[in-house]
Amino acid sequence: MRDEQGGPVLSVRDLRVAFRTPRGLARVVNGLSYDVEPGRTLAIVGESGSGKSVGALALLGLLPGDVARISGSAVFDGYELIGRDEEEMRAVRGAGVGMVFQDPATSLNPVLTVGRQLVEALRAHASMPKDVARARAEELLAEVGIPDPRSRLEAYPHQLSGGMRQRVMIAIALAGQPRVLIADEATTALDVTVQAQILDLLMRLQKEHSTGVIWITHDLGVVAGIADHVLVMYAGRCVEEGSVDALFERPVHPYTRGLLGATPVVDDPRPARERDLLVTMPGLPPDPVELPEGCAFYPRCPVRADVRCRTEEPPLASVAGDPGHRAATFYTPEGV
Amino acid sequence: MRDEALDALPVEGKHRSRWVETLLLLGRNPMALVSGAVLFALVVVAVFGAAVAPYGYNEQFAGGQLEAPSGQHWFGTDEFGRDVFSRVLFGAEVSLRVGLVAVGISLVAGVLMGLLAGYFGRWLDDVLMRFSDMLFAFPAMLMAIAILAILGPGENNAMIAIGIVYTPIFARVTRASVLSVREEIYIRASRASGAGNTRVLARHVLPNVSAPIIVQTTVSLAFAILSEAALSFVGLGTQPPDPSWGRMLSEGRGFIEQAWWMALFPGLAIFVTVLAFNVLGDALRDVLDPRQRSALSGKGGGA
Repeated sequence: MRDEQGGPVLSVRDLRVAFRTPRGLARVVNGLSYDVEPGRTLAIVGESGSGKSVGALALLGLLPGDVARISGSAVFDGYELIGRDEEEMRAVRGAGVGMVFQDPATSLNPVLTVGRQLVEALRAHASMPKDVARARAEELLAEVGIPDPRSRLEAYPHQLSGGMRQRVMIAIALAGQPRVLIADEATTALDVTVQAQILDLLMRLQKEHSTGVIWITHDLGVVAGIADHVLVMYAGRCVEEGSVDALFERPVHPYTRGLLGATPVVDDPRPARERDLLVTMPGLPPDPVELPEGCAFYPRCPVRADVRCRTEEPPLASVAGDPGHRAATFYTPEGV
Repeated sequence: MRDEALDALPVEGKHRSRWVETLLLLGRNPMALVSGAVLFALVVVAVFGAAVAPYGYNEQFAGGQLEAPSGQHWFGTDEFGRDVFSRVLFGAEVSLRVGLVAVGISLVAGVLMGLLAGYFGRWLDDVLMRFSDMLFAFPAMLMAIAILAILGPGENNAMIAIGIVYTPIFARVTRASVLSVREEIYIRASRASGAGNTRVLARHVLPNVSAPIIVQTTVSLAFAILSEAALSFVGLGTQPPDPSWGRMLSEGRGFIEQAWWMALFPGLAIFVTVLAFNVLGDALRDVLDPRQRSALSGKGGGA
């Protein structure tokens, strides 16, 4: 067993990612910092284009090297990940940090059997004979709750349902026994009942292996159910972070408040006509090539103050009286 | 989407591999069956030609020159009194061998170029594809003739020349498919689980671009056989007295008014072979296209 006391397993500091585009430099991630603790779940929340997936791919060196410019630091288990070459990154991928992708329909190779893909992931890091790898693959399939795993090894991805395929993807991601698992919208493409099963499965596996999980999603319902710590991203920046309770009960940043308002509440006890209307947020996230000078949320902000917000970028500051809860806004909501 | 209770049931049917399924589907297409049978017969003739042919390809019948088709000489005889039927049978071996070796050369070289250019991109892509464009810019026959002018005429050199001429097509077809497959999430997923470039290329990219390459191979076989015939027709390919369909066509041309059979039968052999390869290529394309595939197998959509 590894040493589990004390300290995060992955520590990201001031991560920045920019892409060279024909129109100029697109700054997609702008100074992201977070820690992932073993056995705990960090949720990264944001709308499409907020830089949440790019930030994760940058950690694994999976962005195209010729157009992506990455800076900052990401220390995994005492080992700096940023600036490593392809060979060095290969040793980390799968074995140190595993990843589950959004759409199980496209993240498995359609022409290879499930068994071959699992065996391949197993043998990518540990040299083991084929029959040992095969037996281990069967165990893994059983572990992720696939019935009749022996015969499923011979199945092609199109012969499995979406939920089953995502279970296979999880098995593949776990094959290298990673200490950090990045789940990038891992349940978004699944229907709700299957989603709940996959969430249960991941939480069980996380507990058993005390894996640190980064859960990337735009689904706040999922976040409330599984996360320990939440980080809200907007235009490549963290605009608010804190424990699940702090964030859901005492959101400070107008963007977070907007996100929460845009989530329908199913069991609202009030009669229909008294319920709050579903809030939509007008506008779009800013163009990463032309980020506004001050607060990136300024153009959409319902509570903006004129001069300061437009010219000065609000720092990520602790929320008074709420340890661990930080927000990047000049606005102070009433009653907080 | 199915629910998990259904998933607990065993998957229906056997887990057939994609290639077995492809063959089964192909078997339902009558045109594919006919062309497959023709090509199978051609291979048999090419391999066992010596045993099947009634006479030797160089056997001359004194006094039997330019004889019309008869019970003794089905396709007649040529100006030296050689049996045209036997020569056509022997010619099958030459055509098929030249076609296979030439396409083999362009297949290996072209696919390798396409894989590397498409997958690694950047300067490697530029270098390889501009080189292939350069080859592509020449008319195929002119290029083959130019290469043979350097290497000298002959069957082996004809294979090399045809192989070089058809390489850019394979490079392009492969590169185009690699460009789309490269962005697939399963490629990223396998890299995320620690697979290296060689493994990703061999295990994930190549199998997923194989369908268009297979179709291109059958079509190119037809073109290669035509090219061999054309090169032999102008005297740069197979040398006399070896029988080659193109050579026989060219020799028959001089006697077209006295002995139409000398040119007709080798021409027919070329026609039937090329047609069979093309029809098979078409059928393969239909079967290997996943969108048409579900319609063909009659199972409907199904993700």
